[in-house]
Amino acid sequence: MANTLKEFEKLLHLALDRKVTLHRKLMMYLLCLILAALGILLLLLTAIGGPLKAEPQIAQAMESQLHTTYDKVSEEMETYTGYSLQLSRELERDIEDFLDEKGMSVSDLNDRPELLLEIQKMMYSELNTTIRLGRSSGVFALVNATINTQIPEADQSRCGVYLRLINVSSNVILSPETILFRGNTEIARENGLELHNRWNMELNTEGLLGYQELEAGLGQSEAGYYWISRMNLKNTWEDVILLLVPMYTDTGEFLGACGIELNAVHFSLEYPATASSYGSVVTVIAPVENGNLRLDQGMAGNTEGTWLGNAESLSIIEKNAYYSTYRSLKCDYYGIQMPLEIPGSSGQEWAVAVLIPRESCDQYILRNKAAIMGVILGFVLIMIALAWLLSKKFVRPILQGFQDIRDGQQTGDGKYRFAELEELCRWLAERGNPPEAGDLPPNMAELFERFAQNVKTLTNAEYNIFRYYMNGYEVAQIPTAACVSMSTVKKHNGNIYRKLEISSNEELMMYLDLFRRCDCIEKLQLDEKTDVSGIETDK
Amino acid sequence: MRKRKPWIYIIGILVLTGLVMLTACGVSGGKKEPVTLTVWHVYGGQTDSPLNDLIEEFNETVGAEEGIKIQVTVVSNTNNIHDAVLRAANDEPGTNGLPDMFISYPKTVLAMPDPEILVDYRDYFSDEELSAYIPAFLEEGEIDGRLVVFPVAKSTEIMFIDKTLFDRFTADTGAALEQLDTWEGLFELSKEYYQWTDAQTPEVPGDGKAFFVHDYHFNYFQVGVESLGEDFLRGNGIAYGKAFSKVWKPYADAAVQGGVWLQEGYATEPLRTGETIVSVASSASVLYYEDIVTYSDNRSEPIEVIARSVPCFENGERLVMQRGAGFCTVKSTPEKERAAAIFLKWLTEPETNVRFVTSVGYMPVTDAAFEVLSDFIENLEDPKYRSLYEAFLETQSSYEFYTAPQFAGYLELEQTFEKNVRSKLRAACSSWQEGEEDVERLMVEALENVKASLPK
Repeated sequence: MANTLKEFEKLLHLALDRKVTLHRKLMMYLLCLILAALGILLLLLTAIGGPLKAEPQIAQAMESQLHTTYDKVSEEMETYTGYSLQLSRELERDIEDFLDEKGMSVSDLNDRPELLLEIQKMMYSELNTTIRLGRSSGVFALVNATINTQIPEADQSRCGVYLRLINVSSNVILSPETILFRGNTEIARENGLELHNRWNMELNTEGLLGYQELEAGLGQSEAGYYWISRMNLKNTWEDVILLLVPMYTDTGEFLGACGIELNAVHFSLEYPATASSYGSVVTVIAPVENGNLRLDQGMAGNTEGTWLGNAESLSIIEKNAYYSTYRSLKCDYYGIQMPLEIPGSSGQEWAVAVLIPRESCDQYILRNKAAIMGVILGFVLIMIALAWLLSKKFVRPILQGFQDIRDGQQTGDGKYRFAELEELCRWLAERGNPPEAGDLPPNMAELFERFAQNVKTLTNAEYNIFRYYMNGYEVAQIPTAACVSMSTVKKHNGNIYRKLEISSNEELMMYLDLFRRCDCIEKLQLDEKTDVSGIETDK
Repeated sequence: MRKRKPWIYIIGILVLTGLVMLTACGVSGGKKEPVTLTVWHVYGGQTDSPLNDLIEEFNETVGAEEGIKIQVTVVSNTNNIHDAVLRAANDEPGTNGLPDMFISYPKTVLAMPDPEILVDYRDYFSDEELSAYIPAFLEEGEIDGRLVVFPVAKSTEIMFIDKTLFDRFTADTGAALEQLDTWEGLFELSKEYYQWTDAQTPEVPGDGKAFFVHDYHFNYFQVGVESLGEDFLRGNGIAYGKAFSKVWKPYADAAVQGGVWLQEGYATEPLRTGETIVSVASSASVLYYEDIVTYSDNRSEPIEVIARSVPCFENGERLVMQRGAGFCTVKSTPEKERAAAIFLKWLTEPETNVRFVTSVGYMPVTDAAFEVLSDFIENLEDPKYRSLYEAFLETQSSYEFYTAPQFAGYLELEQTFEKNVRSKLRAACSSWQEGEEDVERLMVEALENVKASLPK
C-alpha cells in the first residue's frame, strides 16, 4: 500500500513537473474563453426564449392528457348513447303495444291517470334497469301526454318518470340508490323510493331544448338523438346535460322521448384534476360558439387547484405554436381542445379541452428558465474564472520570465514551466556564453578520458605513427615522412585501431578533431615517446 | 499599464447572480394556486342549497385572500352521507375515498373503523376561540376526548302544519290548533281527520287520509318515554316500561286507524302531496316544505305552512330532541387542515352564522350569534321561516333539550326500530282497513311483532 502511494506520489510529481507547452496552455485558455462566450450566447437565447423553452414540454403533457380524456369521454358518451337508444327501442315497443292493445293513440292518453300510471310503471322498469347498467346519474322517459290538461302550463307538462341517484359520491356506483325526481308517487311507494326534495309529478318540457320541435314533427337530428347543453335542474343545486332520444311509433307518430343525464358532480368525480409540475390540469367538455368554449353550457372535471368556475365562457385570446390561451372571468388558462363527435341540439358543436392555469404555468416556465439561466450563468462564471486563473498562473510566469531575461538574471536552470521558454532561454544563454574548455558534458569527458588512456597503451612505434595523425598527416603521406613502408604503417594502424577501440581512420580523425576543438589535444601528448621529434607538428 | 481592480469583477458577478435571484423571487411572488377542500354536506338536500351560496361567498372573499377554495361534491341528507362516509371509510369497492370535510353525527364517527383519521379541532382552535361556542354543542362533538365533530348549526324538532288544509278541517269539525299541544290531542285529531277525509268521498270507502307524519318515530318514543320520567333504554336495548306503554297506546291507536302516515321516507313528502297535514320533523326540514301542495291529479294549490313547538304528553315534561350534525375534517396536510379551520371559523362568525342558520332552519352555535338572532328573525321575509323561528324561541324558552346517547349499537337500534315500527303498524292498519275491528288486539300484536324484530 505504502509502495502504491509512493508510486502515485511519484507519478503526480512527474505530471506536475512535466513541462507543458505554451501552445497547449494557450489552447486551454482560448477554449475557456470560447466556452464562456458560448454560454453567454445561450444565456441570451434562453432569456429571449431560445431553444430550451418549456412550452413544448407543457404542450406534450397537455396533448397526452387530452388524448386520454378524449378517449374516455367518447367512450362514456357512446356508452350513454348505446343505453339510451336501447331504452328508446324498448319503450317504443312497450308503449306501442300498450296503445295497440287499448286501440288508442298517444293523444288519447291525456287526462287518463290510470293509463298513464300503467305506462309510468313500464317506464320505471326499463329506467331502473338502465340506470343500474348504464351507471349514469339519472334517466328519464316521458310520453307525450299529461295527466290533467286543465291545469295551467298543461301544454308543457308531460307525464313520465325521472329517476336519479340519491348520491353521486363516487364515479363507480355498484348498487345505486335511486330517488324519484319526477313521476307518480305510486311509483315511489311501490318501489320503496324516496321522493326528491324538489319532486314534481310531471316533467316540464320547457327545459328540454328541441322537444317542442319534435312534438311538431320538426328538428329531428340526423343521428336520431342529441345532447342538450348544461341546465340546472330547477330548484336544485345540480346541473346536468341531457341526452335526448325521441320515440316514434312504426307509423311515425311521436310518442315522447327518453334519455340519460350526465351530472356535473359525476363528471367532476370522473375527471379529477391532474397535478403536474405546470399546475392542475383540468378537463372540460363544452359547446363551441364562435371559437369560444361555453363552459357555462358544458361541464368541468374537478377544478382542484384552480379558480375555474362553472358558469363562465372561455374565449381564446391568443394562440401560439403549441397551445391556446383561454380567458375566463378570474384567470387565464393555457389549453388545447379537440372536437367531440356528439350531436348537439340545434347543430351545436362540442369540444373536449384540457386547461392549465396560466399563472402556475408561467411560474413553471419562469422557474425553468431561471434554473437553466442559473446553470448557464454558473458555467460562464466558471469558464471566466478558469480563464482568469490560467492567465494568472501561466501568463504571469511568462511575463516574469521575460522580465528576468530583460534583467539579465540567470536562466536556463529549468525553472520555467514551459518547454518553449526554457529552450529559448537556453539558446540565448548558449549564444551569449560559448562553452569553455573542460566544460565538457560528462559523457564526452568520459569518452575523451578513455581515449587518452588507450593512447597510453600504444607502443612507441605505434605512437609514432599516431603522432603523424595528430599532426594532420594523411595515411598516404606517413610512409614517406616516417621512412617506413606502407605495410608497416598499415600494421601499426591495425594495432592503433584495436587499442583505441575504433574501427576506421575516419573515426580516428573524428576523435582527433574533437580533441582539437575542445583544446584537449595535449592530453594525447606522451613525453617519453618523443623519438619522433623530427616530425613537423604543423603540416 | 493601469492595473485593473479585482473587486470590479466581483461586483459584476454579484450583480449577475442578483439578477438571477431577482428573477426567481419574481417567479414565486405570483398568485398561489388554491388549497381545494372537497365537502359533503346536508344543508339543502337535493335543493338549491343556501350553504352552497355561502361557500361561494367564502370562495370569493376570505378564500380568495387566503388561497382556499371549497368545492361541494355532495349535498344530501345525514343518512345518505352516513352510508357514503362509512363505505368510503371502509374502502368499499366503487368509493372514491372520503372528502376533506363532511357533515356527520357523532354516531357516524363512532361507526367508523378508525375515528383517529379525523382532525382534532383543538389543534387549530385556541381555548379562547372555543370559549365562544355553546359548551353543550362542543361536548356533543367530542369523542374519546377529541373534538372531531365541529358544530356549525343545531336543530331541534318542530311541528309543521299545512294551515290551509287544517283550516278546512277546522271549519267542518271545530278542531283547534291548541289540540296539537299534547300528543294525546294530536292522535285524537288524527283519527278524526281520517274519518273526516274518508267521508269526503262517500262513494269510495276507506280512502281516508293520514293526519300526522313523524320524521323519526324512534325519536317520538325515546323523547316521549324520557319526558314521562323513565329511561327509554336499558343497556343497549329498549326498556319496555310503563311509560313506553303510555307512549305507545295513543300513537298505535291512531296509526292502526289510519291517522298516522306509516310509509317510508321523510315527513315532507306526504305534506307536499296533501296526504298528511301535520308533521314533526327537524326544524331544518323547513327548506323542503314548498308553499304548494300537488294532488294526485297534478293540480297544485298554494298553502300556508306554519310551525309550532312539538306536542308533549299530558303530565309529561316538556322535552324535545336536540339535533344537528357537525363538520368532520379528515386528516391530510397541515395546509388543508388549517384551511378547513379557517372556513369553519368564518362560518361560525356571529353574522355569517346567523345568516347561515336562518336560511336553513337551524340554531346558531355561539352566544354572540344568539344575541343577533332576534334582529334577524324580525327581518325574515318568508312567513314560514318567521313562524319557524317564533316556534324555535318558544321551544327554547319552555322546553328542555334532550340529546341522544352515544354508543356503538345506537344507530342499528334506531334504524331497526324505525323500519319495524312502521311496517308492523302498516300491516295492522291494512288489517283494520280490511275490516278487522279489534284495534286493541291489532295494537298488541303490532307491539309484539316490533319487539320480536329487534335484536335481543
